[in-house]
Amino acid sequence: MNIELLTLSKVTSISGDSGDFTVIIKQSPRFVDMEKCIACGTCAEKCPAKTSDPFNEGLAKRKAIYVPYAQAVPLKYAIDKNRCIYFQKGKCRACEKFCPTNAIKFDETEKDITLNVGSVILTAGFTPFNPDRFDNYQHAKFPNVITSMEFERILSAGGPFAGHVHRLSDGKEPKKIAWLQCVGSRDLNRCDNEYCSSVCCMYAIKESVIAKEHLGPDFAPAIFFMDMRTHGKDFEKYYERAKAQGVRFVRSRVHTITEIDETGTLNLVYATDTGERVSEDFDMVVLSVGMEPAASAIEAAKTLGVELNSYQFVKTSNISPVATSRKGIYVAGALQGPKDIPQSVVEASAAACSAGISLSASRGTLVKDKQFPAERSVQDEKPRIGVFVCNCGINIGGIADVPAVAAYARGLGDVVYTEEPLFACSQDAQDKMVEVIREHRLNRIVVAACTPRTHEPLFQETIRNAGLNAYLFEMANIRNQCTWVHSGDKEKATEKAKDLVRMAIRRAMLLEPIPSLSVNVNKSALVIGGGVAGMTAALSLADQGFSATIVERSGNLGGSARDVHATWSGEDVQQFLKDLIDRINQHPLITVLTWAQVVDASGFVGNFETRVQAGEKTHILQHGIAIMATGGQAAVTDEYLFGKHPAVTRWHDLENNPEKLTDAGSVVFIQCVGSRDDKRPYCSRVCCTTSVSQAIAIKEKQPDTDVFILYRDIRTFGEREVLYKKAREKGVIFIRYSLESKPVVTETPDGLHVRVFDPILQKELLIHADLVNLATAIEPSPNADIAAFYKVPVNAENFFMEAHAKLRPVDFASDGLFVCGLAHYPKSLDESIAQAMAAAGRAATVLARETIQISPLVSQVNRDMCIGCGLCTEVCPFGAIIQEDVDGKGFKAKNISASCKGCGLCASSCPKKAIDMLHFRDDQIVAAVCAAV
Amino acid sequence: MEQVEPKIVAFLCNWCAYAGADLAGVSRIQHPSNMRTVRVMCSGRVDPIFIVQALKSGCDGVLVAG
Amino acid sequence: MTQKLLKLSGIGENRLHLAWLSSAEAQRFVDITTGVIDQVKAQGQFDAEQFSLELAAAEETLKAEALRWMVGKEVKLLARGDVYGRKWEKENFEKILDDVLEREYHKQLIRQAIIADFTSVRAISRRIGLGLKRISYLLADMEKTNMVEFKGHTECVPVFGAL
Repeated sequence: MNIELLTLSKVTSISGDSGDFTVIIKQSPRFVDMEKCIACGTCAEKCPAKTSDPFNEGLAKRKAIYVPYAQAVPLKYAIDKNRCIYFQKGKCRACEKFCPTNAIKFDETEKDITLNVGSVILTAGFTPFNPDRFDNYQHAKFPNVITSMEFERILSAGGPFAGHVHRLSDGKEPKKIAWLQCVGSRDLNRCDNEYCSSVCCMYAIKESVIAKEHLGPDFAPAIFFMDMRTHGKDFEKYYERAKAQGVRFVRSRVHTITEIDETGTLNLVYATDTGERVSEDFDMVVLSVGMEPAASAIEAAKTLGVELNSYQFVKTSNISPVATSRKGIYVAGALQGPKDIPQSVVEASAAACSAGISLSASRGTLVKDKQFPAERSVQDEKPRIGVFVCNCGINIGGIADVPAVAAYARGLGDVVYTEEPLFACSQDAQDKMVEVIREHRLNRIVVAACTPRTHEPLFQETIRNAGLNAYLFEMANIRNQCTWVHSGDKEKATEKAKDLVRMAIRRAMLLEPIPSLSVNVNKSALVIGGGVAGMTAALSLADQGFSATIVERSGNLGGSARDVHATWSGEDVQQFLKDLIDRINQHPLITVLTWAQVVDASGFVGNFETRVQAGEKTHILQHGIAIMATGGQAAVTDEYLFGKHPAVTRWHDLENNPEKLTDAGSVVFIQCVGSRDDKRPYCSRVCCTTSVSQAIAIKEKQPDTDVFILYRDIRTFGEREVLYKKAREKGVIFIRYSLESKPVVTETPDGLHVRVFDPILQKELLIHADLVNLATAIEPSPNADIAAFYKVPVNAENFFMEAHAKLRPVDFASDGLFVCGLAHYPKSLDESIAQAMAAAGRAATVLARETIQISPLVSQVNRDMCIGCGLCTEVCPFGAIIQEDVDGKGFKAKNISASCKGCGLCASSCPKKAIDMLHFRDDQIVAAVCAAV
Repeated sequence: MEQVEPKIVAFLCNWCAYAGADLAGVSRIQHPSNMRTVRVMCSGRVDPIFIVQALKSGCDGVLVAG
Repeated sequence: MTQKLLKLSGIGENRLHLAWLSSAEAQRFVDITTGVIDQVKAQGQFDAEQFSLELAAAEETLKAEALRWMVGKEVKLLARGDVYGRKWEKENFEKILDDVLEREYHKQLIRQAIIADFTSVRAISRRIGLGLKRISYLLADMEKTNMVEFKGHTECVPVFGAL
């Protein structure tokens, strides 16, 4: 509603300054009227012109009039002028003839659109590396050599082969597939991309695991890699799981691919660790292609006048990670450098936050509000249930017999309408649903589709558009919990789908309208933790006009950054920190409490109350949101003589005591000390880059000092890879070790000895080390108390757990609570800053409002039955039921709606059964239960 | 052993087990189809009486997961 | 508690399973599900008819205030103590809860048997498998709390009716 989409558009010029840009946009014609198109698909069905489908990587055909893919937004058809027979040859117009809504507009022309905006955010993305330019990959020549993007489409249930993995040469199911990593990345010989693309290791593992799921236990995937870079949150565990599931990991770069027979089987020649030459046959080869900036994105960046770096990615600095060189223009995502989805989402929120700061003065001036038609009263009506059984493309319809399920539903009592949409969530299906509800006077809606956890709000909005209360709606989860997990047995999946639909219908019969509830928002923030993440979050909120209080456990602001010299790209951290602290201290809207700890918290989004103990003083803070930025620290270890020998140090100890280095003839860095093992099965993400940077600094200052880095995989992801290359050029010696044969550090009369087995030389090396510096694991601050106070989750390693690993990387599942910095996962300073700004950006979406809607699914006390025993008050974990003295009737229970989470503990323990839950009433649940069999 | 597949009513908490079940779907982890899920906002909502009701209506087992 | 009740009633505790997991634990969910299905399969098909008395009694037992009270107060009694400030030992609490549960369930079962027209102590005992002495003892108690009434003698056998 407050987002306007301009598709087929290109920025042609920009003038003005931050706060007042004039942007001129050229919009190419779609030749389809967006207002009229209902995406029924008749045009594409009738269109005689076929062309290769770029969304499916050319593996399928599409028509000249098309939607790029089924879930496209906006779901409106467009004509590809270069493929359209009418445009090319002057006649046809089949689409125009058959379009039921007269939406085809052949005479549409290019338009210039002028926009006046305050900020601009660039999110033009990346393009996958095209290996056709290089003959060694044989992509253009052999049909069974495909790119990872092509394989992604082959794997997809919505892809050209409906998820059935097969060879392009002969359609046979492959028994063996090889993934080749670093195609178009970390490679100066064949292409110019010396950076690491950061995401390919993880997606290759994902593809191999999913392929194995599709192809069964006999399928043998192998991944050929240089360093396995699973540095993201929970990625290392996924890597270990893949190994356990039978994915083979081969540390080698394949040098020759040949086709050995007419069926297209491929032979790969590679060298093992020990230098042995191996020749092995595979059915298919998947090239894990890297990321490059798209030519169009580069052009756009140039038009906007923002600087690019040497790889043509948009240039930013580590300390302002989403600001471009031009004030008021921000960047997010892979246009700035290779990165994965969570990091892109973080940057997007951070860019929105930056724009929010520069536009805060005019906040709300152009906002439109969603209007719903008046609610129709259904009180006196008999249930008239409409059942929509979604095909979800083939996700449901390909497994369960959707027509049979719909027919079955049709035969159940009170069901007066059924339908089987291809995608119930698509815009046209939604519009139709509104119409149908009106036309058939439906008063209860059941959608059998995916999961209510993602789609209930969408459908609720739809039925509200038709004048129904949002709670007259019920979903049957026949995709996530049925067809997706019972794809092997179509009959049973259909039977279960019928049962689930019956349960939903029985429940729907008893549903009742529930009025909405809202609460006021206290427009101030609490930030727990005064490190860079916490300070950045507080400042980003205060700059938007919201007051913020920072609670810092120690006596000083700064956190872990106090130990850090420079960011990975070389910016001075101490100067940055000093400036940041100055700005915090001078900001009129920021309060800092040092030596302070949260001792209790209560409340809910918009209205939290937190007790903070600061020295002797207790503060009671009222706030609308809270940001957890509790940070982390380098772990202490008892390995490698740490704490027992003065020459064994960790992390920044060495660079912060440069005098130690002056006489050192040799320095050994040991990586993964306490990371990636059983106790901490995660990668600490920043240690490789840090040690490599430190090694370079030593070499630059004292070229004669021998510097060794003992590592398991070097994980200098993204553009950090350049540092790894530079270190090798400067003579830093990298020796790989494995978890099974860790290096051994011993103290001898002639100093420290480090023994390590070199897998390339196949022998044990002895290094006389003057100094040993350990990259110990980064662990989160103890978060248990805070997690308990605010009822937010932590993972097995005590990092806070976000609401969704990919799509909601700074939100908690509970509203009004956010996370950033090391408390979420180890990350570098630029990443912490981006995440802190993202948390502030997300928090501002709450704080900017006067009131917010809360869930009305709360408990309801029947006061006539209540005996005032107080058991409910005792069992409620949220303090949401109190006992009220009612005149002449003694105590009676009373619900505090805003605190109530709707868990229903009170209802299930009330001895008198005087409490029921709205939308989850006893009779509604029992109806579903009884319908299960 | 019975030939007939048992039917099991599963009371799943919206925030934990139900989400876990959804994720099993997203991850396509295949498993037997005997469960019939009733979504609740918290496993604490499950009054023991519901469990007896489920058995009374003829299901063969009950799972409460939060 | 419900599991204990199912065990007590002969329905079998393995028909009810409780599990805790987080939203991220998809594999665990599948493992739990598969485990539960296997165990329930091992129990065989459940015949609700055969256990109609037991199920009705179990339902009534769970509705009973005394039990709901005890369960609701568990945390408080164990952690903070009762109205006299005495903290309860977990073992002690559970033993008492078990006793109350068993007693309440047996009473409800007797009542259900009477409703199903097993009106003499012997007939009740044959139907539900409880000892004559235990039944007589509980019936006396049930009379006092107006759960059942003594209806007189039929052929010298005392007959009861449910209230």
